[in-house]
This record gives sequence, structure tokens and C-alpha cells, in this order.
Amino acid sequence: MVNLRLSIADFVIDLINKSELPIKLEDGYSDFVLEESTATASVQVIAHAGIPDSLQPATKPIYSADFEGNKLWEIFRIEDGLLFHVYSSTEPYQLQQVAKLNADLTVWDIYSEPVLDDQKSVLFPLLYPMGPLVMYYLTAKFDAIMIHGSGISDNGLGRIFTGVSGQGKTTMAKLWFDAGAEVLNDDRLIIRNQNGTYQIYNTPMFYQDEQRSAELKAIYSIHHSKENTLIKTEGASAVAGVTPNLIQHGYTKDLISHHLKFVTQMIDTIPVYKLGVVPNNSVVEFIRDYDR
Amino acid sequence: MDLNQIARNKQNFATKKVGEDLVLVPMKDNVAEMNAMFTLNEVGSFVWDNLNEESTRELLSLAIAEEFEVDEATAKTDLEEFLLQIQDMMNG
Repeated sequence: MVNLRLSIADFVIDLINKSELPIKLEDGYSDFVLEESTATASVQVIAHAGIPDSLQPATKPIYSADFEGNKLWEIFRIEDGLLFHVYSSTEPYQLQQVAKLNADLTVWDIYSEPVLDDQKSVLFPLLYPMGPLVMYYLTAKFDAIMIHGSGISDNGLGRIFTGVSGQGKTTMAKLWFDAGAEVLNDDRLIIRNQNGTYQIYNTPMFYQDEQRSAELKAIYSIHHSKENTLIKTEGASAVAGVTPNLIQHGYTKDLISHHLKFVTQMIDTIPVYKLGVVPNNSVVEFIRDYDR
Repeated sequence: MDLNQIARNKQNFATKKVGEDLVLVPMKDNVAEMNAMFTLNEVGSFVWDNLNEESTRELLSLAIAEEFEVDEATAKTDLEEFLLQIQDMMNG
């Protein structure tokens, strides 16, 4: 029995509770809960209470993610899929969850230690960073990618500003917000190929926000500059401008090929620009003028 | 680094054809290094596709000359440029 349905980037995620404890989600998910839907789920998440000893890996991890010196998760290959050890983002090296993902990337079994919430024992099956992992493997399964970037909708025109940390993604979001555009998200986005058009979506964050999306019209790989500059890139150069900023677990050629294939198809219809940015409102008008 | 070593190292790259170019993504310790992505032009892409452990400089130069209808000296120059690029990347 499905206990909760989520809609993220128009993917339906079914949460099934196999424990006696209630399941809860972080506040950021509240606007992504589907109240009534008969849509087919893209992925099932089965929540279990407690981490069984039997889920200790027998091999070394094939991938390990760290952030500021703390381990966030490890991935192990197992006979029928992948095994994840997910660590607390607030208590270093504290094992938070163990999760199994089937080989088809469609069913998660997530074993979480119960936590106290309002003095009641509950499970948070998608507690960060577990939720983003589920989202990432959704994109790996389907015709979609996750990207670090600021996404905005400027009178319905979806634009993504991407680049390495410190190049001004969040600043761009603020400048566009001040200029009247809708900010979809300033950190993490999903792009989906919907029958040849590309749609940008926000995803649940640690703070509450409504579901947002827009049709993608252009991607800008940004860098600081003394003047606003825009150069359209083509072919491999465009791929190289976008791909390094994808959220990715590049431990198999299959995953890399999935990402490269998506981007290569996308740049056939979506222009990719190198954008030199002066971080003030002049850059907004500069881009709008370019489009006129 | 000789041709055979380069040919053996090919397995450590994920590749994607983009138009006439070839995008290479190095895999280090089984993890892709997207920031070290590398692009080969049409000639480089052709050499990459045809490079194997049996390859010699002479055979590859001849193949380039035939494929791109250039003289042998030009083909040799193109091959050496490719080899320099590829060694830089693999040593990267």
C-alpha cells in the first residue's frame, strides 16, 4: 500500500511504509506531495525501520562522496543492484541510513534509524542526503539530468546559469529576481526532455518552496568578467561547457554515457553560451537585449 | 608513452561523438573526471577510433592520408600533434 506520493520534476515517487513507525519528510517536500493521482510511479521507495547487520558490505565502495572532509555516502556494488551507506550531514561519520537500489533503478529499500520528532519516534526516509540520491538515480534512469545552477523564468523563458562554485550563480538568481523574473532555484535543478522540449524543474530543498518549472531556452556557463560578454558555443565546446556542472556519480561509463548523450541531444535545440558577468543588474538587460 | 600504451589507456575513457568531434572523459580510479574533459577534432577522433595495440605510426599516417586526402607529410604532422595532445591528457 502506498502511503505517500511525491511529484518531483513530474516524476511520481511512491513511498511505502513497511515499518510500524510513521514516516515524515523534511519541510522542503511539503509542496511536492501529490494529494490525488492515478499516475504510474517512476520509482518506489520502501521505508524500513532500523539498519540490519546483514546490510554490511563485503567489498570496498565503488564511489564515495565527501563534503568538507565529512563522508556523505558510499556506494557498494551488490549482486542485485547497489548498496548505499548514507551518513549524517550534521554528525560526521554517523551512519544515518542504508539503502538498496535494484539493478533497474526503480525500487529503493531504505533502512533508517528512528529519530525523535515532537517526542515521537518517526522515520525520515528521504532525510538529506538520501532524497537527492533518489532524485539523481531517477534522472539516471530516465531522459533527464541534474545540474548545479540557477534557473529562472523570464516571462516564460527558462534560463539556466551554471558554473563552478564562486562564479556567481546565486548572485545571478538575485539579479533576475530583482528584475522581475521568477527564480526556479539557485542551486540544484532537474532538466527533462519532454518529447523534444526541455523543461527545467526545481527540487525539494531544506527550505519550503512550491513546485516550479519552465521551458528551457538557453544555458549560460558563467564566469566573472570586467564587462558583460556572450559567446555562443557549439558542438563539443557546448558539451564541455555544461557537462562538468552536472550532478553526477561517475563511477561507471554507463552513467557518464547517459549524461553525455542527454547533453549532446539537448545542445541540438538549446543554445549554450559562455557568459562573462559583471555582477550587477546590467547583465540582465545585456541578456534581454541579446535576445531582442 | 608509446602507441601501445596509449591504445591500452583508451579503456580508461568514456567517449561521446559530438558532430565530427569526440569528447573524452577520463576515468581515474573508476571515477569520471568531468573537469578534465577533453575534445578531439575530426582527425584526432579518427586516430582515436583506429588506434589499437597493433597500430604503428606508419599505418596511422597512411590511414589519415587516405581518409582526409592529404599528403603523407601532413598526415604525419597531424598524427604527431594528436599524440602530443593525447600524451598531455593522459599524463595530466
